[in-house]
Amino acid sequence: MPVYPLDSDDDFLALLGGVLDTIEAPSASALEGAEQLFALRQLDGDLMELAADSIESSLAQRGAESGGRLLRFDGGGCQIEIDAHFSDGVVTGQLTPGGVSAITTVTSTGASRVDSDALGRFREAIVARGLHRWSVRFADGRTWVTPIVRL
Amino acid sequence: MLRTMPGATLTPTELGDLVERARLGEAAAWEALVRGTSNAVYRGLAAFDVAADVRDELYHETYIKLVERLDTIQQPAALPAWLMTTARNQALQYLRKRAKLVPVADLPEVGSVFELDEALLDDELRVAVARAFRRLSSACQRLLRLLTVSPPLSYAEIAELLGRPIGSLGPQRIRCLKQLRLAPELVAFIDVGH
Repeated sequence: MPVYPLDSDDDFLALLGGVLDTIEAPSASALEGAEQLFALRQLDGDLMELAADSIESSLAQRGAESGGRLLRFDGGGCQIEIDAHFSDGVVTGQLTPGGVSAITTVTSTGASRVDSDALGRFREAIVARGLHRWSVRFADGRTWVTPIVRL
Repeated sequence: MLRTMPGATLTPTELGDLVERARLGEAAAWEALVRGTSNAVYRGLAAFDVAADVRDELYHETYIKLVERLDTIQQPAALPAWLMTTARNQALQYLRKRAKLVPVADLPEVGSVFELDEALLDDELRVAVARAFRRLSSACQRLLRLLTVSPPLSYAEIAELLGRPIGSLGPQRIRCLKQLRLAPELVAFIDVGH
């Protein structure tokens, strides 16, 4: 049996690090999933906060009644409400302030765009379950992007 | 083009370059960034008592936070620490939800939750190191995991992640390495210079 000169702490830690890199590494599928997140990056706009989610908040009752998922994002006096109806395959939304605005929905498989009406309402199809985020160019010219959520 | 494999060491300069190129929209730079930092994130999550599927989810959520905030990263060289802090916070948030009560400073006292797949290790020494590592206390496992991540963390960053005084890390490192060297699996392999 070979004997190794591992009296150096640095050498020993390097060996241990190599072992842990092997046995405690992410799976290939997890790594691939992280790499694919780049499609959800948004270059422009400020990041909103997730203010309410029907999975975890007091909105849960309303979400359960509608058979969907309710989300509200806040940022800089602007607000985006999302109501995802999985049974109908439709997302409806409400922007505050209202006015005609451009909404871009980004998923890991691509992006789509709709415009809201004068009251800030919009409607679009849910292309697929999975990660979503929305980018909204409000009528005043400001652009806000939501955090990434899983529908 | 800089290519990185999982676990490869990224220098601060390389980290800065990858972050900048990813900000400019280069998908390959993002992939290299993920590959170059993934082991650090996963190593950080290994300190928590979570199932493998949850660990994968927390790993994923950590990179979701990064892709959301990529444009706001001020110090790319500190990215590994930022990722590990984010992973730790994700794990603690999950554990609080799961247990309803997990004090922030009181990490779960568990050993490694990884199944040891010895087929991945290509020689007897590495298998022995892995077995000996699993004998260590969870506190030693946590410290040694953080001391061996790549890109490396500073002692200040490790102290913050563990919620412990920085001055306690050096003595604990000595004790943990001594315990590891004296593990029955390793004694036969190591010439400690006596």
